[in-house]
Amino acid sequence: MNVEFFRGLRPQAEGPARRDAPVRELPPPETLLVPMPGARHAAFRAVKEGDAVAQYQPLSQPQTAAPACSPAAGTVEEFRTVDHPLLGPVLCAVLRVKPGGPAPARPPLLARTPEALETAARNAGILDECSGEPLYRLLKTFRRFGVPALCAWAAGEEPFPGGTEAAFLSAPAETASGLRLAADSCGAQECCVAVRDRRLLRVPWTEGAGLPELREVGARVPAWAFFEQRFRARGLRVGRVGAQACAALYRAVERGVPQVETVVTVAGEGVERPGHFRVPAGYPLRALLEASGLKEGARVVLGSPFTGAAAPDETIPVCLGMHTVLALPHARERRPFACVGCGRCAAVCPERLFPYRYAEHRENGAPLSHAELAAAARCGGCRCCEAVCPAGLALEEAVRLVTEGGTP
Amino acid sequence: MILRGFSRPPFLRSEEPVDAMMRDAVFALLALLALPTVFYGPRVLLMAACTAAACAACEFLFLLFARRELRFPECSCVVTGLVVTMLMPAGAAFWIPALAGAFAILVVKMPFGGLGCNPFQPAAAGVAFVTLLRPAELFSYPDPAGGWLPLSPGGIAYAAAESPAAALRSGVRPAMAPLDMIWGRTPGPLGTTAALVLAACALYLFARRAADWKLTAGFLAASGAYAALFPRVVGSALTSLKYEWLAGSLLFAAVFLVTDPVTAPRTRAGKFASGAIAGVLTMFLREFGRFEQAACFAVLLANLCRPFLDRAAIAWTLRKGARHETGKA
Repeated sequence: MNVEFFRGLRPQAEGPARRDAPVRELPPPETLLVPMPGARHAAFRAVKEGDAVAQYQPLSQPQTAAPACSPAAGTVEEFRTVDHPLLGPVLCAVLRVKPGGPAPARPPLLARTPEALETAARNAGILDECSGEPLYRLLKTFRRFGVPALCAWAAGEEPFPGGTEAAFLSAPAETASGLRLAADSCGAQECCVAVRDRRLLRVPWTEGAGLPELREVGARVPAWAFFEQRFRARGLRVGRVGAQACAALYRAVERGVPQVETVVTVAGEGVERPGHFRVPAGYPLRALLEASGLKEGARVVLGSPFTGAAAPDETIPVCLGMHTVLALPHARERRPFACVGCGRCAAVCPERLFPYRYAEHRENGAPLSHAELAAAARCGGCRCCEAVCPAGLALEEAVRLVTEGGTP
Repeated sequence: MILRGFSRPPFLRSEEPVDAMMRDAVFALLALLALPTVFYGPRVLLMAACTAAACAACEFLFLLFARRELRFPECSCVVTGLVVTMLMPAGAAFWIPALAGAFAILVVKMPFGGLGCNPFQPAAAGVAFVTLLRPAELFSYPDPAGGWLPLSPGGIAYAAAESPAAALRSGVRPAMAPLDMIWGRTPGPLGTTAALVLAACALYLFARRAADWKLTAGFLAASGAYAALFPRVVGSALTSLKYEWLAGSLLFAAVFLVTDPVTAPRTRAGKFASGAIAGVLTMFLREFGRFEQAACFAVLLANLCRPFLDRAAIAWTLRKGARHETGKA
């Protein structure tokens, strides 16, 4: 049951997945479908069809996105456009994997200036799994706006565990070092790691001795909104970077390795063997779900159960930034009713908005006050209002339309 | 939360949709019918069924003539019918609650757009309408100790007993023992006398989230404060509070009338305030009004305050939020 006394939701734990289970490796597939965001134009591709590529070799050099690197040595057979729920229509390289050992180690980055770190993040093709943005762009934004505190987000996707959380628990030191590098890059003075429960961490963690502070976020949804409010109360702005992106930055700087793999958590009642998997970009989602024992008729959701995207089918590839795959039992759609005025949407909203007012505005043109129009910009899109709405109204969309200047 | 496979986020949603809320209200109202059936016989069941059927028929006819989609997914017309029945004397002719239900559906609910759009509590409006129309029949209650009533749908003859609310109105302490008042063995509207069952219904509805406790809390707190401050019977403030709460339809109104989500304010502060306004008005109208049962009129007057209360609460909350937002930067 949800608790409405303190805003937000407390969804009940679902599924048997263990948050601190070890991250498993899956056998490499014969073919990878490596997404190359921003490379639909041929000018932004670094390879051609039929080219042999080495592991970590850049496959694309886009202007607006991070380059995609080859997760394994092999041959580029063809390019194929895939309609990906997280990336949109994206060009993918069909890579025939050639068995072989790992690529030789590269020297570490010596210059640790903010610009050099950003360049390293860009060249390594690191994607922040929390925002879906390239890490270099995120760090640049934080530096420009002078964010004083930086947080590595290592909490799951309530009520399920998440790949971000699993990645941190499997390599906490790499995340901590990467967070320090990211803080150096954007000039943040204060660092912390946001975890669901610090007891899950099985290694000693001495805060202050070179390690950032661990801060628990609890089980309340939306965790990030409430976490941010703690900093707001101190008059601080806080930036968020995913734990996987932090660890990838560390590996890029210290070992010269680009980000070519991601830790994905498969959870939910729709799988028989939930767990955490380390898979390369381009890994077939179907193979991942087969390894987890997908049940018949389950619906596959990518990301958070509140804000994630439904997977249209299982043929799409795993991409960087995909960290949680939920398999939810399929059920009948609920027909929407008219608003009955229960006020639950307003009770759970972490930003103290009144989402039903925007739905009324959209439905029948009810006038909104200046304060309501201005407050709509505070909506973080957590969709908690929709989750508790007994009428099944599209409240987040109604608020977003007001923000975007849409008319009823 | 319950897992459901929706095609768009959120994929986890509340397990209390509107139809489930209405079903819960129907279950609670049916539970409330148990003791009156024991006291007055199956006539009350027949009356409830007729009123609910009349409400459903009116809604169906309205949808038919208005050329709208024919659907009764949320059972709200049944809830209206049952609530109207609960506020009737057990010996009332069946056409009286049926007329109240028809008024509720055809005048108060459907012309405004149906469930979710009505500005006034339909059942309260229907009962208020027949109260003004036939007050004598409405405040003439059979004695629950007098045995089962005949099944005749028309008006039946019975010896009217004095209800606790009527005794309070005359300024005397009700002659009934408090235990009888708790178990509903007192004359009064058929679904409003069993305080213990009402409390159980309230807990069920709050637990199932079909009703909001804030409205009930505001209503009971305000009516209790009024009863304690301005007692109508000789005795301590607690004695006055006990009799005022247990007499008449006050407890029923606290659980089923003021908690109607459609006509109550949506905001937290507005809910407490609306409940308090309804509570004070109920007590005021009981003392100075024409009728011994005034909760329906008080609820309708409190419904009038909803837009003002909501607007004030929203403006206050948003101003606080904006101040918080600017203070953080």
